[in-house]
Amino acid sequence: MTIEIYLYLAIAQTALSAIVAIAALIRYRFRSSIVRLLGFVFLTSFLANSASFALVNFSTMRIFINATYPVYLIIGLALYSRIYHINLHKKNPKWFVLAATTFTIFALINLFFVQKTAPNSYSYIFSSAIIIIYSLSYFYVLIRDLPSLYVHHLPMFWFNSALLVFHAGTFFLFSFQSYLINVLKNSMLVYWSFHNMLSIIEHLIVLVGLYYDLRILKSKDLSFKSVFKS
Amino acid sequence: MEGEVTQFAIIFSLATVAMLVLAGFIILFVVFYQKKMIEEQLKRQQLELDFQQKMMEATLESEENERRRLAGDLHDSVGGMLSTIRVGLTTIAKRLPDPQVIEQSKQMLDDTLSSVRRISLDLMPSTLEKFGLVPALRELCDRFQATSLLPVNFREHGEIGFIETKRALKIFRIVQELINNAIKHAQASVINVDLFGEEQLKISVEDDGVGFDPSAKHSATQNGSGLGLYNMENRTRLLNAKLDFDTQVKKGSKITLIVPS
Repeated sequence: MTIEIYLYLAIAQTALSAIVAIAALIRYRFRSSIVRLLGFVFLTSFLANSASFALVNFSTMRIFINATYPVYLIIGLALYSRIYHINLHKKNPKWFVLAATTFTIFALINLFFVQKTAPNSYSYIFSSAIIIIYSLSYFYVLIRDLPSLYVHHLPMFWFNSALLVFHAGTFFLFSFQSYLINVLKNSMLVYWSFHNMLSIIEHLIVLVGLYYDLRILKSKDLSFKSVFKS
Repeated sequence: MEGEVTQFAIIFSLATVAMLVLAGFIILFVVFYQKKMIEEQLKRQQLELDFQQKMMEATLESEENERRRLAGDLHDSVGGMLSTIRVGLTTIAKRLPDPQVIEQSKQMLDDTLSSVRRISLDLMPSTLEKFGLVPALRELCDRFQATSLLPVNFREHGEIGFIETKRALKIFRIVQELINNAIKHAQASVINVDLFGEEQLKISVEDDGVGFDPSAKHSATQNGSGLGLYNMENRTRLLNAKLDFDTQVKKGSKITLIVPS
């Protein structure tokens, strides 16, 4: 594994984040709130990656590079909490607010007092664990409510699958990261490239979901036009 | 240290692969389980629908059987007795010095006899069972015209194929109800019954009366006040047919029954 391959993967991941954000936010007024929120998550991811690329040459900006990903994680988890609050049909948002708030406090303490340097693996572990729980809860609701014969036509099914695959695949990476760097003194390049590959797969699965969402939007347009004509 | 790193890489790879396999298994499980559950739900709904349809069919059939029995009793028993009484009256009249005194009673008896025949025919059209749907509908229009004094025109377009008696009886009942409604409620001056028989059987009943509000039709069916309409819709469903209402207030109405062949 060379640094070039790692960089290619990182650039591809960043570019895909931008594509996902654009695909989720175009025709903004007609998109569901879930798709809009997801668009903002990936927009934040794109901005975080771009910022770290831009700041990496400035050694004086180290604190900002360290802060980039925790900030992305905090915003991302808050938005995911809202997405799952909508999808799990819970009237009371207290558990989602509690999860997002606890995570925010934890991530800030970890950033400023515990791990300090990037990547803040403990925050990643916490965030992944919460998202895996959200994801499994959504699947439970899906098989309980049976909303559609063809579950793969639901955009949220793809978004949820993407999150589950990514966070399940990277959970151990984040869990062992600290041990890997501090005890084994091993390079993170291979492992972090693996993370980027999984992230690319995640983005591609999300794009499938957005394709179904755009198809639904198109069929709504057609039915609206036919009603208007008649 | 290197050995430790390799060992770690193996553990890490195994754990990650296990997590990915687990995630993949969960996703596939959701897809297949959800599909299976929905298919079972649809199957259950279909069974319920079939059951309801069979119940409806059985109810309508028992209704028809009861009508047949009543029509038979009226025609054979009451009609027969009235005919015997008429023969008796004719015999008595011959013996009387002035036969005209019971002429009025004879006339009343004749009227009663024709009423019994008409009711019996309304209950069970023997023409339908003997000659089929088209002659039965023609006879129905003639009888409505005779009793209501309204022109009820029957027109046949194209060739009408054979229709099984049970299906024909359901179609007949729908048309009977439509003409009946047009006479009772539409204040029409003419009623046209057109029969088209090409790829599918189409029967339209058109009048130039006051028409009606189509939304009122729906609420009448739902609140139970439109029993005739409710039965008509049930029969239409059992025929897998379609009842098309083309009506506007004060502009007459045209109701078309479309029966697939």
